[in-house]
Amino acid sequence: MLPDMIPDILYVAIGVFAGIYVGAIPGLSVTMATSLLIAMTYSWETSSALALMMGVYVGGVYGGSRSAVLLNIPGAPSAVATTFDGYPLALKGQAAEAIGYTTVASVFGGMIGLLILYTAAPVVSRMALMFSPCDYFLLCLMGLMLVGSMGGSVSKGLLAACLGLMIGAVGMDPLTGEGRFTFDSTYLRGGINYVVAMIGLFGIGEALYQVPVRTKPIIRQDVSRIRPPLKKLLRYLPLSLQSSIIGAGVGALPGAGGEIAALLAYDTAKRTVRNPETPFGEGAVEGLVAPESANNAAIGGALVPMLTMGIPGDSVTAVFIGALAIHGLRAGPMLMATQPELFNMLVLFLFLANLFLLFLGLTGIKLFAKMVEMPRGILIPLIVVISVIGSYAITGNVMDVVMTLGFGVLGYVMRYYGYTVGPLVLGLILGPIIEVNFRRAVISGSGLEGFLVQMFTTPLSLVLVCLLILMLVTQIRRSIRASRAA
Amino acid sequence: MKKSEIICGSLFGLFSALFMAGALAINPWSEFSLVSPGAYPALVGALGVLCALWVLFDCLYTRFKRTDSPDFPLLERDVLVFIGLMAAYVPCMMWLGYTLATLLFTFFGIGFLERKHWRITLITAFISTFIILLIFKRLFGVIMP
Repeated sequence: MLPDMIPDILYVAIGVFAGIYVGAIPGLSVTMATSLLIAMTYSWETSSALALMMGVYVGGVYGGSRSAVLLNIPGAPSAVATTFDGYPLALKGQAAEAIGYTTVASVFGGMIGLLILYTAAPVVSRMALMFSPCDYFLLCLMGLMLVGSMGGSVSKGLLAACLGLMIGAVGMDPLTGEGRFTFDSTYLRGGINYVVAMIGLFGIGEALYQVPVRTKPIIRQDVSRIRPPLKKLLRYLPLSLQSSIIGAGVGALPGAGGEIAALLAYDTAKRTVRNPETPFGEGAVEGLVAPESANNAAIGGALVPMLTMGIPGDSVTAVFIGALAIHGLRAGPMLMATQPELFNMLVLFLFLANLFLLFLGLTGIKLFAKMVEMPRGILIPLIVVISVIGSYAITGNVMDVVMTLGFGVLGYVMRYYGYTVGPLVLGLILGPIIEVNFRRAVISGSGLEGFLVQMFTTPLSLVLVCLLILMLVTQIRRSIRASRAA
Repeated sequence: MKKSEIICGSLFGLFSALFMAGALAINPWSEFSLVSPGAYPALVGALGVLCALWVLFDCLYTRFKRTDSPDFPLLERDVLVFIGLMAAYVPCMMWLGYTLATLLFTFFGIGFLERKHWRITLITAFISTFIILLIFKRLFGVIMP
């Protein structure tokens, strides 16, 4: 049995290794990598194809954190929250240690997600099905309330999020197909890709901001300590567990994905962690552990609805469904009933991928960390070149490059005036989901009145409304406290 | 700085108001229009106006700290030159191809920011362009313009 599995085990390892480096490069998404693998592996054995894809999935989600820590460019949308404290740590010369923490947190989160997948798959999938459009709408509104956790003032954060919502509304109407703010442009009819915006706002924006300060002394990176001390890891264990549970739960909601999971976990950490060694947003290790545990735990969560109901939890699991179909398998309840060995095999691959991540994730850190020590005059043009090619790689459209540069200038102006760009990206990601679910909820409630009745009478919606009000009150209180302190 | 922040907040507010007006023009507002294509953008625009007012209120009533502002002007000369270089990079990419345009951009970009001897700059530009091409084109198979 074991000798037969050796090639598959190797494929998992190769996948993890490749995934880390694909994920670390902005613009090269895990979804894109797994899609390419379908074409490459369609003639392979099902187990080998799935082993490679699972490896790339786990490695890629983790890999996004590397560029987030080192260059302030999230390699993947799920690494947006990692930039908040990862990049400040790199600026303090602790990039290597930060990557060490993200590796261990990712592995821990991945294992918890796996445990939840294995033990609670049917229960979690049933719970996810209970979410109505109204509940999704409320959940996304809760996501928007995270803007206060992203640093900067609450009012500026909300304004940036509104700007993101507005940009997210550009393009074809999701329900009727009518053009909105497209100015008769074919490009704009397809809407603005949030990855393009993300690369521009974080990558080019940061590069432009570095231009006037490029002569400041370079911070030497301490690469002597990569593996985090066990004592500290044990201290962050409860937080990692809390974030992993959030991650797996959110990941199980179809369409939610690792990015919302990571932001929600970051916000929860900010609320629950009392007296962190370094304040959040200035290089708190807790701010790294929480999102990284959550986004990797979301992998296990996202596999739950895929395997139990045939509903993809995120874009990568949607590709997985396609890969299974190519091999003559149909994801869903029948798969669980007729081929339980496939479920067990996927769980095993996920376990192995996390195990390999622990070792492979700690490779090349010194080399990556040294990247930050490069003279800024060389690093800035290189960031622009990587951002340009990253945005071009998404659809192969030069307009995406123009948009990236435009968002870069916007990111620079925003940063100059003390606006954090995270809320804008959050608005861009959540905007289309909020709109579709809001309109679906209104249609299913036969109007606004029915929608409001549904919101206050369904137990789940009511709980979400209460949580939303609680978050809103907290944000307002935080804003008032900040104003008084100033 | 406080004055320019007020201008920035006002511009955001104006943009939101224009966005709302544009959204209302998509579909006339009626009691059944909550599910129409223009309703959601109009609501978002209105929210943007409210947030801009909140920002302006904050700007006017919060004492400004000198440490809040960067120690260089927004339209700093080097930033403007670099934005110009980036703007020239995109059409060059279409006319000269990705490789040559990248080589030129890195050469002029590094040369402008680092101000080292032109030979060192050229070698750095060559090496970095080669590595980037190797990673993206050969390893990941990304199709270049």
